[in-house]
Amino acid sequence: MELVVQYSLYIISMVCIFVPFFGFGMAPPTVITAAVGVFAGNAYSLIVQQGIIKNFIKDNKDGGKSSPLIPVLEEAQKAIDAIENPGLAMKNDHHGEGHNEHGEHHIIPISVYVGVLLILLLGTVITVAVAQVDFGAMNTVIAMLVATIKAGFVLAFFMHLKYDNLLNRVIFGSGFFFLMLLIAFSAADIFTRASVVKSF
Amino acid sequence: MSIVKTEDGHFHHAHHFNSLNHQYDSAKQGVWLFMVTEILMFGGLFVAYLIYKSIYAPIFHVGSSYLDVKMGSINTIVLISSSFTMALGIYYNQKNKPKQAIIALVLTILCALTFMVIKYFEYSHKIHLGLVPGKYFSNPEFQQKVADFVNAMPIENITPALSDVEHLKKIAPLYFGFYFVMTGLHGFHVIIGACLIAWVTIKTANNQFGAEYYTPVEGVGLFWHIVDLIWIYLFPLLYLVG
Repeated sequence: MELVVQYSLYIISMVCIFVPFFGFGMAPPTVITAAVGVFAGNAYSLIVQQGIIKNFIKDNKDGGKSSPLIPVLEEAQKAIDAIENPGLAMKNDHHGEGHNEHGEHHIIPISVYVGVLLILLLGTVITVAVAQVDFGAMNTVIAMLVATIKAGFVLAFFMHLKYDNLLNRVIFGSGFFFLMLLIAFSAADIFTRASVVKSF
Repeated sequence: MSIVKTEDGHFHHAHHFNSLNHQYDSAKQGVWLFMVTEILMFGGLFVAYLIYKSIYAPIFHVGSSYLDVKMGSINTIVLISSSFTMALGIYYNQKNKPKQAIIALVLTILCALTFMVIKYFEYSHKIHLGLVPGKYFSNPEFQQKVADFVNAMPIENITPALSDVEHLKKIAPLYFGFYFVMTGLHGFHVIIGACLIAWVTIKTANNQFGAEYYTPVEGVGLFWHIVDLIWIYLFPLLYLVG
């Protein structure tokens, strides 16, 4: 149990090991499920975020011989708009294409920034205060947990990731994913090969 | 990246982009990719730190007691505040208020300088005590403390890696290797970030940004927040949980 607590960070990250292990032959269905999930996510991002259907309609409607697919796709796009953001469907009908192309970035109000600042300062105070008390191995866990929560707030609000497009979030997530793989395989290596200090 | 500001105060995107928004998104995507490489670079150091800490935990425990938690905490607060003012710098550019934006950005630079000054005091104290990495290490007291700590440990907790106390004394400077490389690389980022913020401040003062175009401020802001993010992890790892 001591070991579990002391190195809980490693153990959490070791969950990542299961991904490649299952992938390398233990459970092909896992790979297939993951692949389907990626395809679904990709399709979602193409249709909803990049508006591939909308563009297809726009490109093919003006031509002399209109495809019979167009009305069907228009209906589908309308349905998607209605689900995704009910307000936008009407707005697009009125103003047409390319209206909100000019600098319509989401501006986060100052009050949110102040709130995040206060949370970060509170997190720092908690980290320092907790470190003064000896919880044994739990100290590392608490410190890393608080740091991760703080990092989450910085990413979401200061770095605008909460309101950013899906691709930037995926790019950043992929960085953390590969970092997790590095941590996981390194942890697996030293736990099976080198001797790890469990407590002192 | 060619952005042209016309006489009537509007911005024109480069010809190979569909719109200003398209250009903004492309530029920002590049910055995010760069941020991933930053995370992976520091990630390698963090993994090395975790590996050596799990094998030679006593060295890291004694080593962290040599760091000044008060200075580290002040630096954390300074850096978090600078992240806040950087976010305000972007906010005021988005709102077309260059004056307030300049104030926020200058405050950010001042925070960066404060951070580096405190870092200077910490470093010079360490160097004065001979707590430096590698062969320049000259603090037998630290090595003795590590040896005493391991000798005081219960025998069942002594792993093969800790059994040779003389060897432990020899590799004890390892902790300060990690300390100087990790905080040094981070400090290097702080200096570069401060220079970049100075650059966007000058551009803001020259009225080259506005609500339509503030991509460089946003990009530099992302870089600055990553610097803050790395310190958020560095501070507890080095100063607190040894």
